[in-house]
Amino acid sequence: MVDLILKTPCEGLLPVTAGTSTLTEVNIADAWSIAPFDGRRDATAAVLKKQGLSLPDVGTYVENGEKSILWIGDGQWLVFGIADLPPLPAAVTNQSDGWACVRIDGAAIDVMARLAPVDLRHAEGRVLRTLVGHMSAIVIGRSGGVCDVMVMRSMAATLVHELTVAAKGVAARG
Amino acid sequence: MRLSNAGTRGQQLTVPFTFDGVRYQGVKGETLAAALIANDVKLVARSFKYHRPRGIMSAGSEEPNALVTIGRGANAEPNVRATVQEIYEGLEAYSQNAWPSLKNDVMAVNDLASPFLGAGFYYKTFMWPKAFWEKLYEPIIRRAAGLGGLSGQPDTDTYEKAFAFCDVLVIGGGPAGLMAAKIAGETGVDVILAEEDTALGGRLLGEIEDINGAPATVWVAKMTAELAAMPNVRIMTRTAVTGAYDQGTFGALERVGDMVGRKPDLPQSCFWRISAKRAILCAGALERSIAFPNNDRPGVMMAGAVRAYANRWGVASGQRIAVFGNNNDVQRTARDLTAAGLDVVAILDSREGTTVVGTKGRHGLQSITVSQNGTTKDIALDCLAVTGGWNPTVHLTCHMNGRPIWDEKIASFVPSAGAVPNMVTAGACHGVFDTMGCLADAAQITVAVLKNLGNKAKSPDLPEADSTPYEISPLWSVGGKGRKWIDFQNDVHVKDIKLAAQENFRSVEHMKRYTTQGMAPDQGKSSNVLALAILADVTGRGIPETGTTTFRPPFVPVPIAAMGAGGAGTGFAPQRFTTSHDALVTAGAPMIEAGLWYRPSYIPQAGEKTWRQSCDREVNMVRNAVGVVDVSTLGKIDIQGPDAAQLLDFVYSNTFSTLKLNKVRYGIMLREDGHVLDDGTTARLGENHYVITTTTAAAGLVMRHLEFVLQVLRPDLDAKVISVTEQWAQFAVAGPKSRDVINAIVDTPIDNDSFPYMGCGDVTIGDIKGRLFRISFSGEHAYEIAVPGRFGASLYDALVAKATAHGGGAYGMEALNVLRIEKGFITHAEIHGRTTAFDIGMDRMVSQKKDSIGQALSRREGLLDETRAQLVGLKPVGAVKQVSAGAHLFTAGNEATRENHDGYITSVAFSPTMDSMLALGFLHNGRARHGEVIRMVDHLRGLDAQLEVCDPVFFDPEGGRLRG
Repeated sequence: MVDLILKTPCEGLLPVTAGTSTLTEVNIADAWSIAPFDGRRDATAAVLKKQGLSLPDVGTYVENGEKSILWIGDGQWLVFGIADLPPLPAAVTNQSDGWACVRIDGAAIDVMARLAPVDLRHAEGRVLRTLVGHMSAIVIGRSGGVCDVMVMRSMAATLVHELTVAAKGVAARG
Repeated sequence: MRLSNAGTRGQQLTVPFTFDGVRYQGVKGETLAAALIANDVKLVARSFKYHRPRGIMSAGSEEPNALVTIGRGANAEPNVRATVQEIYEGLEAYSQNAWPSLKNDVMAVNDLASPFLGAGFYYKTFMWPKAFWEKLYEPIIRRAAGLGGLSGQPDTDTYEKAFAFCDVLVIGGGPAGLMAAKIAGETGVDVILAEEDTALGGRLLGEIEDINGAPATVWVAKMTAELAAMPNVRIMTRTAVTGAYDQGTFGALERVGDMVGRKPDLPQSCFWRISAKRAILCAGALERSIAFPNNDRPGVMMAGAVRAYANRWGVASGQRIAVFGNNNDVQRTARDLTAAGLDVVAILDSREGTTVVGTKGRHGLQSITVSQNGTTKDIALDCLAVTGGWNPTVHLTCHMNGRPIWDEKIASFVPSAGAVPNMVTAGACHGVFDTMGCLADAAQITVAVLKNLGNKAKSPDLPEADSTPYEISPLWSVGGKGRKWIDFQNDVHVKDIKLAAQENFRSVEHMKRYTTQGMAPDQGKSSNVLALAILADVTGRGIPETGTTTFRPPFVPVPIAAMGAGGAGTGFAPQRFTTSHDALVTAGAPMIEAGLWYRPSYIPQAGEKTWRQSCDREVNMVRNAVGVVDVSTLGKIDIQGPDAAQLLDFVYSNTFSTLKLNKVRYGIMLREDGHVLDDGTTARLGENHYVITTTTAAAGLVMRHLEFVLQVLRPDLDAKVISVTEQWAQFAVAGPKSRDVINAIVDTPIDNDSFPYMGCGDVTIGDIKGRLFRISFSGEHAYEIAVPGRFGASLYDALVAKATAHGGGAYGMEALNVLRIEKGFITHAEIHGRTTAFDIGMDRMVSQKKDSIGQALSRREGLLDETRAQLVGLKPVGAVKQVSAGAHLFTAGNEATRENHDGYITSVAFSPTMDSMLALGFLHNGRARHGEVIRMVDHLRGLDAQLEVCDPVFFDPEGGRLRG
């Protein structure tokens, strides 16, 4: 028997500060993808309602304290912050370790403008599936112009590198 | 010379820079052109073809003459227009196209030979002998041609590309653009105002005009401040919009470090893609010249430029200046220059019958010859300000094939309406040439645009501004002896156009290509209208019938480095690192890229000098003890739902609905056309829950394939798929001692009953939930153990430590490849897209009891033909022991020719287990030819060997070792 030691996707890579921008890792403790079986969306939503959550519309997310649900694709959502998800009439898959998530504070919109072809002018409350550089990503608009960017765990180093270069470029303009 | 009473007067000369190695001083913010003029540098370039001495002609991005190289070495930037380059401390500019020096250029001999070098000269002269073209003529011409040069070294500068979004994009920050941005901004919509100059104001910066009774620059400053204060208005100066593209997308080049000097992390330039709901093009107009003899001497300048240098920058383009033109700007120029205290020696208005018919002064204008009422006289001077009228800057309206329309009133082309969807034009580029008119036009058009967007905008009270009429009487060319230059950048003159017409290149597009007029980097900004007017004249057609050539993006040159920013080197693609990456790098493993992942080639140990030594050791280690390798890179797809088994039966050619719980089965997927798409294992984890694995390279492909099947082919199936490749860190533990290693890791020991061959199930490792699969890609008793990614690094370290304790250790891709070749296991080297299940000997896996993708087409006669190339094993039996992948196979005794081709080799390895090179390949009717000795020839590597055909499974064909 061995004791396994936890390592986060961006361990040793963050935080990074460039000018007014700060990049920090968002720790994902629990994340589940859910995809309701055919005709079971309402039933799935009903179970989640007991958690004080709903299934958000396309391109949006809902929050309730530490818990939140992101729309991530056609009939797919990502649930955060619930360690033991109650049984759902849906395909439920643990994704807690599949993603690296980086928060951009400061000039997030300017930094992301260098990497993603998406309009983040009014992004609060929105979830965007897009490319960040060459990486398939989930971009989450938080309040105060803050952005969270999620890419596959294996691409954490590339994400941090590209965000850092972009943030430094923005900062260098003064 | 700097003026004391105009422009940036009184500012300190604080910016040192050099031109051709000579040190000068300039004023912060001014252009290189202004600084050179201030320092009385007239000769700045040599022309493209004839190496004619040339000086600064314009004050904007249309400049055809003053192209310079900024910097030296790897980061040198060629063909920079001095008129748009700001000076900064330490700027080094160099002239181009001259040797040994700008003043004494050897190639100027071309100018003497010019009677022989007219348009079409190459086509006529270098025709014979035919073979000489490619070997002699073209290389010589190519060496002589071209402006500027690249260093040939990688550019180490930083560049950016970026995206922007707005409701209204205003292109150009002159009076019309300022008015448009202000009106739009006040309604609250998001506005981007892009201006290629360093400051807003456009022509108003270079003119002496009043707005509301005060200098126009005061109004510009007020508007700029008001716009800057609006949070919804984004002012982008130094940003030239370079192209109009589909769906309201515009390209734009923002010059950053280029303009202020290098600083750490600061990009030289940034290429923007701006997405706009509506665009208002307020690009202004470009002044054109008049074709008179020797009109290209340094000192012959556009009148608008001479005014701008005096009024805006406070520098004098000459001491004795004459003004020549065909419109009211003649008087305006004379007025401004006189006011600036300059000596205006002649006012030559063609509308009054006065023309310039000759010039003198090789390195700088010394005199002109004027013709008036049949008499000529010479005037000594050093600058001639010329105005042939203004051309609206219609370029962007032509980027989607719009054709501008001739407007007789202004003797120029104006944009056609609707040329670019959702883009309108206003101000001078709309054909309105007075400031008052520009403001009114922009106001009216912007209100309409906003209304169209659903916003209520009201037209503001317009300020009182200049409304002097334009009053042009067209004059294109003037008679007289000497070449009358039209396209200064490509050295095209009136006679060339006439020659083109004479030789029946009468269409404007043919004339362009025959003479190269408008084909230089400036795209003929200041020459096109003049050229086609002359063509119209020569061919006896009107200008509208003659038409224009096509303007294409980019409007100004864009560095490829900016468009491809971030893409150099490893920026070309993301790097995917496994959780064991750091440990492997620390262990000194060379990492190779596979499907964006980085995987260890081998893990060297002390004393090993070649990769083969490491590889052989690792293979023996797995065969005799135990090895550990990270297999997280394989695609893992989670499939759940009532119809999950049906989906698997549909996408795999073999059957999965019969797979028992906690069991794993190997499967192949076919493409619709019956060829193999991918292979892998599927584990059944629950009643309606499976996880499939794909090859590393095809992980994305298979995921896409499954999405396509569920969305398009079988939407009736209630099954959900999602990738879990990144969720699980997975390691293969292979070898006779693999179970010992697993049992040293897991909380509850396993045995052959709990985990038989092809069994799977949950395990815990220090209370962490993991998955264990008893599968093998090495032919050994082996497992794959998976834990959530966060524990991957830790588990890998533990596995390698335990394996080492059992006489094993980590192995890499080279050993993995040898192990699988010894066992005849396929990879994408074999299932390369052109092979079928029949070819690889797996046709019996294509179930005939059910339908599956590719099953029907895999039954085609030609795909089941015994003579097809079939997978075989190959080993050397002759004197040559070397075998190479990609080599061709031939029947023994046959010549190694294309016609005799009998097959090919896909994979090779040296097998320490068999002490021989081994190969997998495809041989016609191969399965029936086991035992036959054939010939292998590798034409590229010069190998010729005898190989014996055998079963592809070289080692342990009964598979006893797998079951342990």
